[in-house]
Amino acid sequence: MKTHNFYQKEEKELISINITPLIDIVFLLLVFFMLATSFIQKSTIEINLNSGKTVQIENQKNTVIIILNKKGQVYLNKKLINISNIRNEITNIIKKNPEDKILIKSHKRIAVQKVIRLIEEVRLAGTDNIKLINLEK
Amino acid sequence: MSSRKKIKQINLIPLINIIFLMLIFFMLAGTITKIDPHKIIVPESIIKNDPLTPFLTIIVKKNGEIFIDSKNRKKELQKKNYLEILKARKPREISLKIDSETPSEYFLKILKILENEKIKKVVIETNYIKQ
Repeated sequence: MKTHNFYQKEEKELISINITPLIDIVFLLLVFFMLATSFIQKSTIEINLNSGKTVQIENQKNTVIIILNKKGQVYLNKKLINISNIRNEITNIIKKNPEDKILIKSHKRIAVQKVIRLIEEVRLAGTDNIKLINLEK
Repeated sequence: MSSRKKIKQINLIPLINIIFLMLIFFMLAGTITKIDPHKIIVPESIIKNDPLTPFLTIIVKKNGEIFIDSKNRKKELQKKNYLEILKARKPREISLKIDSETPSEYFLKILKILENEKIKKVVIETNYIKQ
């Protein structure tokens, strides 16, 4: 009986593994990944710089002018419009005249975010013929 | 004696399981990002395009300061300096990392300069926001 007990004790000691170092390393890895990783999806917007001279475009008949003023209001051909409706309006214009050019005039102090939003709305409407300039006023 | 020993021991296996699951989640779902020394919050976009690895990145801060990021050298540059770099390297495409709150005046100025340097393609870095 005694010998049996001895073996049992030895077996128990062999089976138990110290997992504390493993937990330490896993914790360190977890902290590293939690701090270093980001869930933001990166994207890009391509801007074509060969869309012609501004003065030439502005004077052409087939140019749609979008104005983005200091307050962030959007005017499509001098008519005040909500930014969420601009896609449909441009789509309708493009359907009638596919070669129309879009000229976006933004106020100097307006944030880039708003200009980019406008560019994307125009792109989603189906045209890539965009020229950007600042409002003179 | 034996009952005392049992009370002292805490079962760590469920804790390790959860930590392992969290670790796997962060490893697979996230992407490791570089720390931005300029702390630029890029604009949000509703169109998803694949990010490029450009030859040259121009960084424009809120106050209009311009930096060029190339081979991990980040230095504030005057207009003349970065024009010299552009002329010397003649990149076909440039990535523009601009803060979302930068006045459009600076944005259009830099586009004009790039256009004059005959750079055909400018890619603006954005964060994709699902709508």
